[in-house]
Amino acid sequence: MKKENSLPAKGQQLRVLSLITLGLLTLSFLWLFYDIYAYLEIRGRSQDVDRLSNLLGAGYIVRVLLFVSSAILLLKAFRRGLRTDITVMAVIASGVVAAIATVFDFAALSDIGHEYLDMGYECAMEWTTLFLSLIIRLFFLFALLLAIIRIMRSLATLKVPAGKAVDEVLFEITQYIGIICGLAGVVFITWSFGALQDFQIKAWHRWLFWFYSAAIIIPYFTVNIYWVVRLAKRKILSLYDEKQKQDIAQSGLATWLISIPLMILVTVATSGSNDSVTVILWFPFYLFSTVLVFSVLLLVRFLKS
Amino acid sequence: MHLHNNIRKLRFDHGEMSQEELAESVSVTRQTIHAVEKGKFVPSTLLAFRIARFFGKNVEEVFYVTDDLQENQ
Repeated sequence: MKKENSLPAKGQQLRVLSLITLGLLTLSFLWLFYDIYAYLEIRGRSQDVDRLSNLLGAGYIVRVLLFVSSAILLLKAFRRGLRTDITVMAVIASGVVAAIATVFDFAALSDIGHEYLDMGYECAMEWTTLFLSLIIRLFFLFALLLAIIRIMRSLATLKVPAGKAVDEVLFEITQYIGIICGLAGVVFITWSFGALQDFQIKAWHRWLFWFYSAAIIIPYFTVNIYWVVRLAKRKILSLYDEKQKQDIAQSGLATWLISIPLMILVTVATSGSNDSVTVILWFPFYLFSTVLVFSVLLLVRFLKS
Repeated sequence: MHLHNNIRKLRFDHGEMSQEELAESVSVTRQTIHAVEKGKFVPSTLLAFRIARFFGKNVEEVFYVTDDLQENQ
């Protein structure tokens, strides 16, 4: 009798490792936007260099973990028969360059700390290194995302021919990314609310805030768009099958019901606070919290079935 | 009333067919077949017909209903 609903132990390991790498990838992607912000602030000789440096430093930990995790993932996937194609080659090449660039970033920031901020030198070379490294890292993250999706699809015991069934793997990945992005967004908004209370909000702060909110939600929208494009290429008219549609409808209803008391709580909690901050923050908070709740509920339904 | 089915038996009668293979044949996900088979999800009429037709059976031969009283007995 064929074994159902379970992968062999090694396949399960690879699946868990893929999900961990996916989580680290999403975090690294979000951190990349923080790095841009921090570099621009430091370049503008911000007074807040120490705080900025601390978070930049924390980003290195996430980056190193991602390099280690992706290397192990690729090695295990090769053992399980992953074939080298242009995506895998792009991951390896950009990963090696990005890892080396990480060391150079560290050195460049150290030089900037001493020579740019303390002694007033231009440090043009160091700045160029830092911004080039961001582009390489971005390329690496996109290549790695494609590779992870390929690895997870290969774990399905049966190859799905074009024009047939709806994709389960992408459905699951989308919910994981929704949870990470939603959680990151809620944390970001909560932190911003506390940090901006005594702040005189200017027009450009609003734009910067919208930019960060958009950056946080981009991975979620990207994976959804990728899914739609893939299905369109395979000429499948429906994005979901009937159980997925029912799960989405029930999770959507539950999310809507949860969002009402949640937003009442937010309204009560923010009454009497800095109005200009609340006006900026309420919509991103609503968006991130609903994406988080919806993704959690949908993933639970998916995993339960 | 509860909807039950013989999908598991029919799959094994069809050369130990896996849920993935059946799912692919009726254009749904494996999760959906699994949920239908376990009675966690009531399929649409169309899907019920597709599954029955795939096995070359009438819908009543694949799906059947029991009421609560019948189940308690």
